[in-house]
Amino acid sequence: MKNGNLFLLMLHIVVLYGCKETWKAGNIGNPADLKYIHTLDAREGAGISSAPPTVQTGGLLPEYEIVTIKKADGSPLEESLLQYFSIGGSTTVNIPIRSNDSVVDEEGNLITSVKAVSKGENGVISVASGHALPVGDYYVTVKVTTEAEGTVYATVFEDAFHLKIVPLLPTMMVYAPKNQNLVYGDPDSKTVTPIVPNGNPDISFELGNHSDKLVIDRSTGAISLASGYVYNSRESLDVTVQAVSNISGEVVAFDDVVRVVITDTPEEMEVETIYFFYPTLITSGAKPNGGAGYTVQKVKPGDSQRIWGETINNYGKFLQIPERPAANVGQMSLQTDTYSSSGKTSPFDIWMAMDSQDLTPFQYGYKLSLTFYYQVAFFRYLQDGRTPSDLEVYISTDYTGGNIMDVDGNWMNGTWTKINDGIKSQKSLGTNGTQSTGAPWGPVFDGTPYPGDQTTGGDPDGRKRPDLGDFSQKWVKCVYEIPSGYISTNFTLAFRIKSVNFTDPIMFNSGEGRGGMYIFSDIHYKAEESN
Amino acid sequence: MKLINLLLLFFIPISGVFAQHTITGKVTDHQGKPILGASITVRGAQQRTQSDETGAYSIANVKSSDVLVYSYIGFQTVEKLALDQQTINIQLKIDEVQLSEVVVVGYDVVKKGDLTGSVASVNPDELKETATANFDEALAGRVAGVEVTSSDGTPGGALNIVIRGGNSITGDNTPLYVVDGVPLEEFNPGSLNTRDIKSLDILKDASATAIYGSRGANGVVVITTNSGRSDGKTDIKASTSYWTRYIPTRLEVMGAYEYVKYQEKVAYARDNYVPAYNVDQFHNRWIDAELYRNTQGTNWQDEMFQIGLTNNHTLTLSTGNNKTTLYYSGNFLDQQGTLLTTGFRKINNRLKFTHKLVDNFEIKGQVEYSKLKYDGMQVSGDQWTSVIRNAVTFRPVQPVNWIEDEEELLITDDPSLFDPVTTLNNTMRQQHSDILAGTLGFNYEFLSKFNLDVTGNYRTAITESTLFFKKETNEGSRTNRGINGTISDRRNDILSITGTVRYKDKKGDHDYGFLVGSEAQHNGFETSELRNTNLPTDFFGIDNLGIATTATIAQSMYTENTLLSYFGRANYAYDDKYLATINFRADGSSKFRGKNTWGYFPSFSLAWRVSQEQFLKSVEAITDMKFRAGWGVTGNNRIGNFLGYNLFSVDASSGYVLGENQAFSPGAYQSNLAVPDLRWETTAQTNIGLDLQILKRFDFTMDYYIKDTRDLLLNAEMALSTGFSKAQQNIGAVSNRGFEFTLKSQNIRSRDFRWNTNFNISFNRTKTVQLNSGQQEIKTDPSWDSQFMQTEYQYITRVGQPVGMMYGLVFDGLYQLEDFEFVGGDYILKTGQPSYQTAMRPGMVKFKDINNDGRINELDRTIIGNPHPKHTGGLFNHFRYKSFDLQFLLQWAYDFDILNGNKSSFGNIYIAGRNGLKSLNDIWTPENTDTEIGGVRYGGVGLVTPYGYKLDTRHIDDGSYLKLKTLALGYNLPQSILTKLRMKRCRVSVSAQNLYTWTKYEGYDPDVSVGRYGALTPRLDYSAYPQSVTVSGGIDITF
Repeated sequence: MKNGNLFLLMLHIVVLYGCKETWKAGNIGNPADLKYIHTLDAREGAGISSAPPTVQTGGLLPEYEIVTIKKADGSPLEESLLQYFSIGGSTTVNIPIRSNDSVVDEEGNLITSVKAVSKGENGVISVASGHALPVGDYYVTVKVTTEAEGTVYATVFEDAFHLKIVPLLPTMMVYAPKNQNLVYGDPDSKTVTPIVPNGNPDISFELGNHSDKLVIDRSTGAISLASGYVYNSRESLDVTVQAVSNISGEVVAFDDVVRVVITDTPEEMEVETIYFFYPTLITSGAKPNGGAGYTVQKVKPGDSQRIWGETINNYGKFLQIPERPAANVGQMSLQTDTYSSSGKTSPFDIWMAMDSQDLTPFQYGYKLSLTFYYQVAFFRYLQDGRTPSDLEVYISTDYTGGNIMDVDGNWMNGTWTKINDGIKSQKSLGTNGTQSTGAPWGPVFDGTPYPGDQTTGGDPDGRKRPDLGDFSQKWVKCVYEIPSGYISTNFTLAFRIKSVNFTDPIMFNSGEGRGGMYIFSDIHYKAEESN
Repeated sequence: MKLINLLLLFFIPISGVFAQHTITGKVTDHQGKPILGASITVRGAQQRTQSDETGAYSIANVKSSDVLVYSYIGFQTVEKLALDQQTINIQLKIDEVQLSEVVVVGYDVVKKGDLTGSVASVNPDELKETATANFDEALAGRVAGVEVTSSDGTPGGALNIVIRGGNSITGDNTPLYVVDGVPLEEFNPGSLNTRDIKSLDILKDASATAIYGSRGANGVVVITTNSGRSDGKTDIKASTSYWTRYIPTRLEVMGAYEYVKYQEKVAYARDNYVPAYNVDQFHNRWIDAELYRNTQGTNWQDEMFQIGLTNNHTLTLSTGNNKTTLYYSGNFLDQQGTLLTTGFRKINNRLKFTHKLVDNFEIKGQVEYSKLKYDGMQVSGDQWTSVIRNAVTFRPVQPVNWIEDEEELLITDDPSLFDPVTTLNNTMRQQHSDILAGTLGFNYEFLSKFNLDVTGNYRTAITESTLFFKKETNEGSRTNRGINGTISDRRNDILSITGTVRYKDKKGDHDYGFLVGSEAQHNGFETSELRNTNLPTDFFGIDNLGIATTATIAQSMYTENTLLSYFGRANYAYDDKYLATINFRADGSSKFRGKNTWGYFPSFSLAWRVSQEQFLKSVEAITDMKFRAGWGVTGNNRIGNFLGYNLFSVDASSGYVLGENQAFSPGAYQSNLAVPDLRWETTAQTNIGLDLQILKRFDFTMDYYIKDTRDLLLNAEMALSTGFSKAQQNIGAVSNRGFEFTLKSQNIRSRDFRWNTNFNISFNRTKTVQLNSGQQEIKTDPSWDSQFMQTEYQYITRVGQPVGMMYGLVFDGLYQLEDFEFVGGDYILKTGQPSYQTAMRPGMVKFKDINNDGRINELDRTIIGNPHPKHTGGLFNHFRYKSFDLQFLLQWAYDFDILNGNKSSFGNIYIAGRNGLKSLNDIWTPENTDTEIGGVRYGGVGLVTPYGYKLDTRHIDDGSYLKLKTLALGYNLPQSILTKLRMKRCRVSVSAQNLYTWTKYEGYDPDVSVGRYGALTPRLDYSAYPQSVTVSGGIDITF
């Protein structure tokens, strides 16, 4: 029995010691387990940045190095293409120490800063945008090196990062105009070929619907009537066309990209006009920070009682705009006063930026323009005949929001181009009593008009055009055709009302002039199909 | 040095040669069979020998005037004057009392051989030789089927004793204590001096416990204390011992350098590895982690743990004659805690007497008084503050570039974190208990075979607890209560009277007896509490709460219950071969209403002593063999006194203020929904056992039991439309099945060397059989840290599974880079990878998606740990070589799990500024991915697991352990020296308790369970007072 007891005792000791492993701390050794998230859907020419990798170093700072890049067949990448690849490293930054004077180094010197390591890009593999890497698979072998207490640890990780470049698929397809007439009985009747402006051109076209009535030329995308089609009556088909990559077989569908109107006799097709940005401008208060579709920046508010705020004056309430969308219930005019109730006008500089818009959907097959209406009232020239205020109109493609300009006149958050001279303007001739109402519109002239009655007062600057007449309390219609160079995903329009030709406050009562009241309405963008 | 000198003195050989001769002979039993191992000694001298297999012995150097003493366990001792005899043959008679190793069962004493139920006895001498403050601390591992576990290591804290698995789910599973015949439900082991224990018997099966009826379901611990002598002699025993206690383990916490490196990692992660605000903050506080590489730092555990000294002194007087006996014992123990400011002190006094007015009428009585004092703050169980948490998480080093404002910032970030040493030194908690009990009764024998015994007992326990937070505590300086103090008083009065009539007779081969009795008990309980807050100064401590500027509403409460019982027992034995016992008890309790007031608890048991049969008598190796079988029903009534009634409460939280400048008006609300049909929790237990003795040296006991508890007193969930979330009902069932094995062997019993072994092992399987109607599980949040765990369920009691299983998510590693796609600069989980929040990132903890729905949520929690050991047991060995004795006890629990709340809370990031376990330094970073510890932040998203996801399989640890529970070495001074010193006995000893634990558990000690909901939340370790190792030296002298 003694042996039995001992056996039990031993058995328990063995059982008790036979199970789990204990917690371990990070071990320092050669780097291991390098992990990248492989990029398997990179598009031709597009810049690529991998996610930062992870690697087991026991906490040591790793240093990454590209050793080789191989193609799918195992052959090394051509020298000329290597240039597009790079791998990020760590950098050091100085952290200033807000010391209480007691922190000194070993030699007694006050520590004023220490170095910190920026590791955000460490190991990130990048391929430069616009690269010329052909479609295919690429494998990057990476070496990771660490160092601890004088010992260097290194491991080469074969094919650690897999990059697969696939054909650049088209993101846009345009049939211009969108409405295409197919004439039954005319064997040559077919649509235009679509514009497929981006993506790898090695594509073919397929119909996504209506394939019982229509056929598409696989190589050009032109659509015609199917041979078995029997005409009964005029019909209109919204057609989905698919672009198929001949390289990868990937399919991109463009829904309702073209409207085919089938007739038995040729018809003139209607072109489409899209008011894709027609904000109501609705806001509340006299000095809002913005409203529906716009924001306000008051660089110098001057004596203004009302800045891009609700219109309370009758002059802003009689404009009639036929193209205004019916949905824009409560469309508002915005009123900016540049003077105080006592008639004083101090220097001012007031901005209003419309919400940024993506114009790229209309870059092919459309003519893009912006339109706005404004009038200046309660305006008086300076004693020498010059205007005390003026309107400036700007556009930008890189505005990131926030202030446009600081009080010193420095641009902020984007680059802007003044477009006053490119605007085509018309003066309202329509009236309702003493109020300007819009149509009929006078002749088109270039630029925005000089404020006020240009037939009166001196003209030291030579900017008045007496032939245009008086613009006091008259709506002006302004249209600007947006140049193709400004078609971007971030197009922004901004208005600036600023004081000019004086630096000290002026008093209307003393006859020196008055900055006036600026009323804006119906600011909108328009895309018109082009033939 | 004095001790060494004394020892040397003891070892000095005493020589002396007188005229002597050799005596030989033979020792036989009452049947003439030789006795092996009978002891033959010369009274007052050193000569000693033992009989061999033939019963023969030889003892030399015997003087004619010497008295030879022949003894053997189970037989009456015989003394013979040597004279000039050369041969003395002795036939020993059976000693009824000794043979029986009598056990005290309900209201009676029976010979162990006549037992038909499952009863285990603990040798009180073994308990006395351990360095423990209270006897329950020494019980673990000694009895099969009795699981003794610690809540934690709080000095003087009571242990959890569960006999044969828990019956109740939401109720109490502690056994009933019966001390000197008085049943006590609220028994504090500290009120008993271990050296007063004469016998400690544990009634395990229903056939043994049914006599205690409604209170016997959890088993019964029957303790009988020492009495005075009846032989006209007087013993004065004095013992004193000094202990040194220490906490042997530490949670492995980050040191100064590791902590600063960790802070650096956190800062970089928060800044997405591009230095910004957090890195700037880090460097401006710490400058450079390398500055701390050789910094010692502060291990706050070392700062608040201490060597605890204890002194323990007992003096007993035992005297009397055949008319009157008297016994007195006094004990003083002063135990310094191993955690600063903690400790336990107690004084036990017991005076016990009997006096025979006439031969058949004896008066008996005793008075006992104990004063217990517990010092120090509560270490575990506080949901909001924890000194262990503070010790682990308080920063080990201050930044070199420290600005006072930054301390304020840290307080703002983590207001509940406080310097642990300051906390301990400024939190004044004391608990004083005065326990006074008196017993008076008589025993009257009449008609030669009848015995009437009547005993009345009054017992009162008055406890006052005080808690005072000085200014330099979290409570005092960071809460709106400010400096505050609370005084709570409790008083428990028990008045009971028990009367029994016994009848015993024997006619021919028929041995029979009857016992009938009745018992009445009144149990009153009252409490009061007062608390004042925002004291202007802490100078006066708890002694002048009147200077407070904010008072709270004082509270008081009184409740009571009564129990009236009738019981009876019949015993019958035929030819000492066939034995039967029938018990019956009827209990009427004030806790239950109407027809449920009375409960009836029957039991019966049978035994067959096979060894008495002719066909086995020829098998000499089998010296005793008995089969036992029994069945019985017992109950559990441990619920509130008035839960069967609708209760209405008016308290501080139910008042209202009607408007401005209006006074507070108390309001009443219904606080308990009556369940009029509330009745006893009933346990039916079947037990089959075998007692086997081989060669009178090896005693085997095996028991198999089936224990089914139904009508559980369950605090069951209610439809919220009732207005109550829970109500006490008789719902559900639990079963326990188990096997117990005990071996007691006398391995060696030569003249100079004896080696006895006691081995026991128990297997118990608990299963939840039924819960509330339609309910399949009870989920429980043990609420061990309301901030960290919020209200995450961590335990589940599910039908078909054991009670109180650990419940959580299954850890499945960490999310790594390969689990994601990188799309447009964002990390998107690959298809098939489950998520638990909108933005997922590498470095987050991943859990197994149990239901495969792609989402990790509460539906993915499952049973992740089993707190019930596959088996428990103990291995006790006792060696005696000449005057030396050595004993050790190994105790184990195998294959069970512990919910390691410390690891969950301190081993993962919770509040980044806190220190934690060393594993925290292994957090996931882009350069440390091979880890199980989640990161801080990556890719602009926090990685820390959100609330509701804090517990997973990483925090369930195997708690299996083997513990050297007791090691004791003693030396008994030889008789020759004792005679010179006029002593009867003198033993010097050194011993150790909890000396070493073999375990893989990474906490302080695997013997821990601080869950606040009993059986629903077992084996939880969070901020528990660590267990201590005790090393002691002592001396016992009997005059």
